[in-house]
Amino acid sequence: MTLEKNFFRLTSDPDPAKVRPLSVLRQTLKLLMKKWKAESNYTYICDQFKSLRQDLTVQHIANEFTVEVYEQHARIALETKDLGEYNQCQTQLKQLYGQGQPGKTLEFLAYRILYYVYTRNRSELNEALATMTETERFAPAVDHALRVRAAWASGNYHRFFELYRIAPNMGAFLMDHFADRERCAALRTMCKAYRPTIKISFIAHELAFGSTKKCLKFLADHSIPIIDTSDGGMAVDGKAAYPSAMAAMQKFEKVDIKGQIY
Amino acid sequence: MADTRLNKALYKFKALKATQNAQELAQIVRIESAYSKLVLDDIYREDGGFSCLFAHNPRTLWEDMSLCHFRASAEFCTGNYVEAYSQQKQSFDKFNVAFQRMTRWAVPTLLAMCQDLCMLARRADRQLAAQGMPVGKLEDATRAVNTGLSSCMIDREPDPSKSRKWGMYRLANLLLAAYFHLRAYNMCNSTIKAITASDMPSLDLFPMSDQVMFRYYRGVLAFRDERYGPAKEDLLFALQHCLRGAYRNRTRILSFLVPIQMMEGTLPNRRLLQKYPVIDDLYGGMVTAIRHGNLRAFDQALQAQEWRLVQLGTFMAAERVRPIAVRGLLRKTYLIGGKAPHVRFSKFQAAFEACDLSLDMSEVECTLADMIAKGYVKGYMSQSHATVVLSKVQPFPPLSSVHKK
Repeated sequence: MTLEKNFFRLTSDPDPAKVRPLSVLRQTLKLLMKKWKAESNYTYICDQFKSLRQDLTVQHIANEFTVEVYEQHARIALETKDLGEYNQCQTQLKQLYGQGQPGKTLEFLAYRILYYVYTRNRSELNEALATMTETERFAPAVDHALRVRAAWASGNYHRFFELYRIAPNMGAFLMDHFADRERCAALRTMCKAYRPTIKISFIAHELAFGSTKKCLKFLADHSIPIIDTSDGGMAVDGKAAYPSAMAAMQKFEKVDIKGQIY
Repeated sequence: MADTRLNKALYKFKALKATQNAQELAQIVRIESAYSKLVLDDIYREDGGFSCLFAHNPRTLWEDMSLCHFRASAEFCTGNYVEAYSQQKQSFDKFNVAFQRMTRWAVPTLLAMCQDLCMLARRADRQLAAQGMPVGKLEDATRAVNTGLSSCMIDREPDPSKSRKWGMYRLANLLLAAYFHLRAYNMCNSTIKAITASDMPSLDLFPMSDQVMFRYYRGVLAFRDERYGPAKEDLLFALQHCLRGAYRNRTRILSFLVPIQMMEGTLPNRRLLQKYPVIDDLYGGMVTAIRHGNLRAFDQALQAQEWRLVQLGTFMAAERVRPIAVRGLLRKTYLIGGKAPHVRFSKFQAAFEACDLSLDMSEVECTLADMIAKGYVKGYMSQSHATVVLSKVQPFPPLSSVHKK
């Protein structure tokens, strides 16, 4: 029996001869993690993980190992920005943790909170807050995610992007998915409030662009006009750019299916 | 003989059905009714137990339903809530079959059975939880009540005064209460959708108690969805028409209504806070902080009540009140500066500092920009002069006119 197996969606009962037992699956996971580090071939790895998960499901194996598999797959999906696959893993993990299976519960609770911020799912956020224990509440990763939520809820882009810069574990990969949305919202606020202009250097720093070049590219992508200032720098003209900033924000009103249709 | 006594009781049920005696039937069908207790006492005295209840073979559906009721009562008296629930459920299922052919007179009985069903389910769940067993009786009960609700809604009775539809809202309210207890809010939405979609007499034709309760639940659901306009409408109606003596209910309504009004700048007055200490506990600290323009106190009050507000579901709404506190602080700064329209950023930074909030300049700017963008402050910010230029006319517009996001 080989360790690797391609994924095929089951339309009937699986063939027991083809299903790998737990001992084999443990080795498969080790192999897959090695291959991921070496080759970074996501299509292949995702396919392999799905067949791994399938073999676990048909054998009704729901234990520490299952949790490990889903956690690894989730992390890989985050790294590759596959939010759909991440969401599937997250849902399974929530169930498994709920049954009392051990795992990196705090790390993934933090991701869940960030995910709800991404989907703007306030009722789930409230439920998550309501059912949190004291230990969970003050774990560093969870505390960070909750502060991201608070900053997002109050429109505090300054704190939001500060937190973006220091996101623990793979939180930044999740935040990547809604960083641009928050940037547009922040730009709209800045255009409304600042007159006559806002320095590009200021925007680039406040909104965690990393470099002026990336900032300029973002503004260009969202059709936000830039002007030259008298001291040789570049800036955004608040009044002139406001309509474009509004339009840019509107683009984020509907979240795609991988998140949640809002 | 105990069996004779039982037969007499079963006969009474039959007679009440034949004469359509709505009031008495609804009374005696309750688990804890005086009549049921009487019957059970007699049987117990004669037999030393309730075995005759379980040995008796019912001849008709109605007799079966009545028998299950007595069995449920017996189990209830001996504290076996799980078995009591099971018997009550059977009783209800059989009643529901008979109910399909009944008219409005039988609605109070249906309601009484549903109330007992939910009551027993809750007690059964508590018992199961205490024994470490999986719970789920209340969830089961909601499904049963749902079938009862459908029975009310799907009524082809041509005479509107005899229609079962008049029981709809009371049952719906019972169902919503159960869903709230289970925190199954998505189920509430489907229930409400089904009601609004169906061909019903309008809500205001139903008894006021039905209206108040329904609007409370609908209001809270809208609140959870952040549709504060419709929420306020329903909750305000519920409060205004709620009996003055129904103190607990009024408190519940207020615990959702107060944050909505605070968001609009209407703070609860001292009298209200005195009269409702629960509200004072939850929101009093924030109210005082806003009145004093103390942002730090507001944050502390919010944090102190965070757990309770989260359990209630109003924490995120209470967060939305913070801009009111910020506005108060900024306005104070403006007034202290003699209403000069140009205020340096550093002045505002000092104001935050005075509340024990050490914010770096970028965060101060961010807060100011946010307040301007949301319409709480009228003016603009100049980066080059590090100054806010406030509008000469109403730089802090009245809160009622501020357009909320």
